Amino acid sequence: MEDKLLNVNDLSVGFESDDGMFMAVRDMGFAVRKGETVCIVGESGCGKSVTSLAIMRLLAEPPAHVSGEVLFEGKDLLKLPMDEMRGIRGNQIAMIFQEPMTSLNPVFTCGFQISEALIAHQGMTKAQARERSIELMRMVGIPEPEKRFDAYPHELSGGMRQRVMISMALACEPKLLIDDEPTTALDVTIQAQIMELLRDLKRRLGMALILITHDMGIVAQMAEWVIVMYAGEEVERADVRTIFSNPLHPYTEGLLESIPRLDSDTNKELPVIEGTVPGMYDMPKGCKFAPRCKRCMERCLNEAPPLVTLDDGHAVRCFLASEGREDSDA
Amino acid sequence: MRGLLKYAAKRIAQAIPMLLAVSIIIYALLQAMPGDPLDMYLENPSASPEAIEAIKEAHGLNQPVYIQYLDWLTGILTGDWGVSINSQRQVIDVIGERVVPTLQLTATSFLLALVIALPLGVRSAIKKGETFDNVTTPLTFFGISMPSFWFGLMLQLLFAVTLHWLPSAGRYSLGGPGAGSVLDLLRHLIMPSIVLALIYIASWTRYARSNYLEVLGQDYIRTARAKGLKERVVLYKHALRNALIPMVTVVMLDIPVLFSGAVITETVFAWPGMGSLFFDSLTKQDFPILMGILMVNAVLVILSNLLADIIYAALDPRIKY
Repeated sequence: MEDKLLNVNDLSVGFESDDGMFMAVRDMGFAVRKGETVCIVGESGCGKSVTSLAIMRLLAEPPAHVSGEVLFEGKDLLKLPMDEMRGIRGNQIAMIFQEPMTSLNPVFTCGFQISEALIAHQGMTKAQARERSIELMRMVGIPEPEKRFDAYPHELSGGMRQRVMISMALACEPKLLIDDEPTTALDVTIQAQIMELLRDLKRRLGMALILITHDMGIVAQMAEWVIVMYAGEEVERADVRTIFSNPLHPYTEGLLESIPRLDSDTNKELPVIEGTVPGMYDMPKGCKFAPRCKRCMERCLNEAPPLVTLDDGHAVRCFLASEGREDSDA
Repeated sequence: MRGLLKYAAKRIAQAIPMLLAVSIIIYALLQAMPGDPLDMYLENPSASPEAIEAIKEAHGLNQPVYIQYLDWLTGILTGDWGVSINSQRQVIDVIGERVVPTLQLTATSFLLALVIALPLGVRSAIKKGETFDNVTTPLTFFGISMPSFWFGLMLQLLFAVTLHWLPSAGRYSLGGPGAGSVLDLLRHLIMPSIVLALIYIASWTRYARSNYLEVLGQDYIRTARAKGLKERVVLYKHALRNALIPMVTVVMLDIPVLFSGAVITETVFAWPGMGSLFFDSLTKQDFPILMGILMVNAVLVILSNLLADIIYAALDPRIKY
């Protein structure tokens, strides 16, 4: 228990709308150990980002309704007074967002925006914060950081802006860094650089990482634990080796099959998961994945499968896996 | 800074052909008005046709329109704004003595509107859907839809006629204790400046609210919160600075409109400014005065545009000149 940095229990997030409450995330539960990387994988709209925003308490309530427990070093973040939560944000838990182009304030210099966290949390003077910010900018590989300190965001490229975001997040050496698709908006070469940078920084600073992505390549490269989400629920959770070698949920299998490989036959079509994620208001009453599942059974349509934990922490939300495979239904 | 000066010089240079075009259009439109400045003498038995002809001759009114325009243009370029047909006084003197009262009224209204509208709009954006917002929003609709002359009359009825709290019209009291003092001026300013400011208070509040709401939804506001900044810093530093940028354009471009609005307000409150002079001269078709006022207004439009651009550049680092 002591090595658990973050413990998320029964986290649910609903959004008020004119047509009633829409549940974006249902009963999430996972843990992050010190220095560990946990990847949350899933399609767009499956609740990955909402989960991370809920942990940081960055969702406006209302319309959002967050319930459950988010224990960070034993303290429930969801019950903390806002003042105390602010002391944790950007200080012990930091976050990097998907959109480097819009996530920096256009009217302040990059250096100022990095310094802010240092001045707010560590009581540094402006001059000290400037020095430390330049050091951080150098660490994340921004060339000529003394010059870039006074640059405005629009004067930098997307990759450089994301590096500014990263140095901002690392400013107070957080114990946990949440990355919400940090490279989605960047091109592939920059993506690789940023991922390499994150891995390197994580090793050097010993922080834990929650990495949200839909890219299985990044998962293989970065993760120790993997959580697969579908339509607001965890469908499978395991260490990274198990996910790749022994995926139990048909959705995870589908995700893995749809990765193009260097040695695959280029004349054959890349397998895809047929269909689309169910809409907010027409969620299937049984298994949420049933309409797209190749191994869907009668029972899946009427009954929602529970998340069942097998040996060594591997958990899966599928009748096939939890009650023995019945391949005849394929 | 040098870039900015160069930009300003360029803009002023561009303004010259624009002012020329504006003067031609206004001159043509004024000439196209039915009637003529001397019409009122036609019914006057003591004005002989010869006398009227002599006045026409003196003011060049029997020349072709383009000659009259060229006369006016050469005059204004050499500092001669012409002579009022009605009072026979120099136009520049007549307008000159009206400038200060108008500036007093419009500047007071402008500041009043700004000081009320900005905090009101920002606050109602922050409190969106709460009581504060729910009270403010209908009030702004009231402010936008209330005709200013009617609002002015109602204020006069309540505060001057019924309650005797404030003077009903004019700029100074004609006599009695304190007549002509600054306090006297301020007491006279209260009602007209509120009437003139009303529509701007209302429309700028709405504009500030929607602008601020839009900024609050931006990604960088979430970033600022994720950094653990105090809500006060997020709202009044990160958000406000961004919300102010588009406000500048709207507010600055409303300055010339404020002067036109003063025409009605000054007339209702007998405020001796350019607005009431304009109204007066319009009914008497006193072309030289009208031309003078309209050209001053045109210069004002151009200057406030330029000022808006300069402030814009100061607030937004993405703008470079």
